[in-house]
Amino acid sequence: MAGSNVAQFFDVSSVWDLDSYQVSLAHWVNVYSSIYELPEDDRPSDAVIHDDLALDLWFKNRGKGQRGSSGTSITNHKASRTIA
Amino acid sequence: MLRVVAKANISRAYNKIVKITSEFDFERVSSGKDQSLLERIVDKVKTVYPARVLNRISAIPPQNKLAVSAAERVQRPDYYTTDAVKSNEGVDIIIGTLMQSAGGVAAVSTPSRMINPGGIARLAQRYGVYQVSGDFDSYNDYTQDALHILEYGTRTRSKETDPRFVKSGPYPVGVKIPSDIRQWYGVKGPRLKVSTIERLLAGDVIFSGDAGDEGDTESEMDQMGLPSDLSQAVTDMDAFLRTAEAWIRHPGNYARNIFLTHSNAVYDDDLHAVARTIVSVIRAKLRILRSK
Repeated sequence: MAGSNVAQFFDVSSVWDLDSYQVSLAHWVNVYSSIYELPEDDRPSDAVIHDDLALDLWFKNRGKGQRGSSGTSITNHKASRTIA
Repeated sequence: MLRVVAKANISRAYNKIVKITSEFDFERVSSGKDQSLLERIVDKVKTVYPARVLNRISAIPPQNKLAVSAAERVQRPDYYTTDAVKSNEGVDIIIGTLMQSAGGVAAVSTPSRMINPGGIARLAQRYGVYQVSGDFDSYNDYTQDALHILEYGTRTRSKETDPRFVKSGPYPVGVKIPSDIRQWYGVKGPRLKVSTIERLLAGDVIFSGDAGDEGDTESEMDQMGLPSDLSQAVTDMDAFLRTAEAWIRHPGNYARNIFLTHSNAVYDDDLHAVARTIVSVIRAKLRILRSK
């Protein structure tokens, strides 16, 4: 859920018409969706997912690792995903 | 951990079970005093239940969700739905038939009532899980349950405590029936109105799913604008996702214990994918809520 898909989803003409809640919701849906689409071996534990700080740290560490190898992060990788 | 309780049966097989179990004395079975009777039911179910259905059910992994189906419960009478739910100390999402028994007395011939009458209803009250009704066929018990929830929140109706349970025509006496719900249920007009869903969401109640279940007649499905063949799978998924979308759009809904809907036509990977989507949305909403 990103870009024009988000605008379409919330029935607004452009992403600039989204309110802060909608932007935030779209962002976090993408974040959590990306987590659940990871292979189980790569996915953080449920305890981590449930803990906001721990999850942020997990993303930070993963981002460091991925920048070292592929130069992309998980959230960027899933940026084009749509919800429905 | 978000817990998902999902059903994974196939409507036709499920209905077979219902028909079979309806031949027996539910009170005797549910009391647990007549194990031989329960065994007879299990044996009979096994004779007609398609192996492919059983395989699908058994293929669903238990991790982070409890896949409990009518068939599974019949086959495993020791595995009570309520016990399974209790073991996880809370449920965030319930998909499907389990919630159809949340009304406590609906669908008198369902195996869930046979095995543990009222159990799910108590769980619903305990955890704040809200009723979700499937089955778009008009005027069924599930519809009445859901309408009751609209009227009274999560309270469970019963023959003993609620005279409205006594039917007068298609609906319980005295229960207000919003006109758009009438439309939604196929009396006339579109089968699924987002505006209706959004309004229902304000009360944390969602209806959806099960369009084209076996109980629907062809004419009813025509009225609802639904196909009467196997393409219902697509139709149901569409309805399912639109319901999810409506919920997503609703900024005021932060209920932690979510209600879900389901489709008999959504199985296996599809079911998991939808569940994942919903879980992601729930987590996103909770995250925003916590940040405020």
